[in-house]
Amino acid sequence: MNQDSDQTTFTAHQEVLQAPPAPAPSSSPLPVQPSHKKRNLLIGLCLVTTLLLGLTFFINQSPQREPLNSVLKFDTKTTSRQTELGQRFQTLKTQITDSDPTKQGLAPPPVDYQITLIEDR
Amino acid sequence: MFKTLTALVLFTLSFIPVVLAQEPASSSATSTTKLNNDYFYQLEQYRQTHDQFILDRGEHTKFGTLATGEKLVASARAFASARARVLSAYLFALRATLDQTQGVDIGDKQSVLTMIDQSAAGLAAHQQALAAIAERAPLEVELSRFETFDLPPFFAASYQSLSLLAIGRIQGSADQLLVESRNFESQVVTLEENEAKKASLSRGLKEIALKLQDATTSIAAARADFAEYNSAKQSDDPEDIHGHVIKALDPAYTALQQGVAYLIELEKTSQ
Repeated sequence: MNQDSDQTTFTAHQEVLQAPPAPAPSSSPLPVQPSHKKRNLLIGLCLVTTLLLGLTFFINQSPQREPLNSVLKFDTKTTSRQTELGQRFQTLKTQITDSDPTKQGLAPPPVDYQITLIEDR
Repeated sequence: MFKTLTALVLFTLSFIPVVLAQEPASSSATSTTKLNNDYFYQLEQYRQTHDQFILDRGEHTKFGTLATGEKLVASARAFASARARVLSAYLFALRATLDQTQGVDIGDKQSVLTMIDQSAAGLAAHQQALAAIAERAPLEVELSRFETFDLPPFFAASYQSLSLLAIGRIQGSADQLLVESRNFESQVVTLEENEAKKASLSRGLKEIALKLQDATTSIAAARADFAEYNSAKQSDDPEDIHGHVIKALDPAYTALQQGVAYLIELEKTSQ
């Protein structure tokens, strides 16, 4: 019964909606000491710089790695020496092939060596 | 904080030797590449002026007006100037290559380098003359003068350079084959303990020595043909003399190829 009466009077007792209370202005914000902030920034910079320099160093070194066949170690000095000779002979073979006299690298330019202002008909 | 900064600076400085250790490109090789690139660029420029000249000449033939005539003179002048620039760029590229070539007679090389310089000077004078011409008649005179007096030295310098370059390349290869065969003899053959194998390797080296002798004879013949340039008459075509030099070098090229093939086989059998 009591509940019924409450339902009829619902509008009468409706609460007025209000905006939530604005946060009280902080009179004392959390203190971040400037020296700590600078130190953290510096450490971060150091880490990034180190990482970048390390990466640069690695990239610089990569093409300078010795070819695998020159890194391989052979058991005897003879085999190593003969392998080196073999490589040099192959280089010489390439050099000789490149010295083919019939292949002239820089032939005279393909231009009109005679210029005439009258059109040939 | 100061320590951290110092460490950072030191760490950065430690990379300076790595950067400095990067091998600088050979300046002469870079220069040759640059000159070659310039030559191909000038050739491209020449082709563009050529197309314009052909168009303007066709137009003047069709209409024959004063305007088309003036246009033709301007475009022929630009075309001839572009041609002179191509020829100059070609000579400079050839000069740089020849200058680096070894295995040729120093006197011959110097003589050809001087010829190249003289021809380049002639081309520069031709370009200056073209720049001062504005009418058809003097332009035709200058073009005719160029063909009569500037082109023969250009071809002589070009083909003599090409002949010397071919001789130098073959001579360089022959020298290298001699050095490598001697290295092989001292490092492998003389140290071989198996007598039968040693005798076999020595026979192989003798074959290589014979091939080198053939190459030397052939190079000498090519040098003799090269001397034809000096005794050539004005009417002789330098391209023909160059053809003789190349033909004379062919046996040397074959002999060197056989020689290095023997050397590679010997190295394999010595293992």
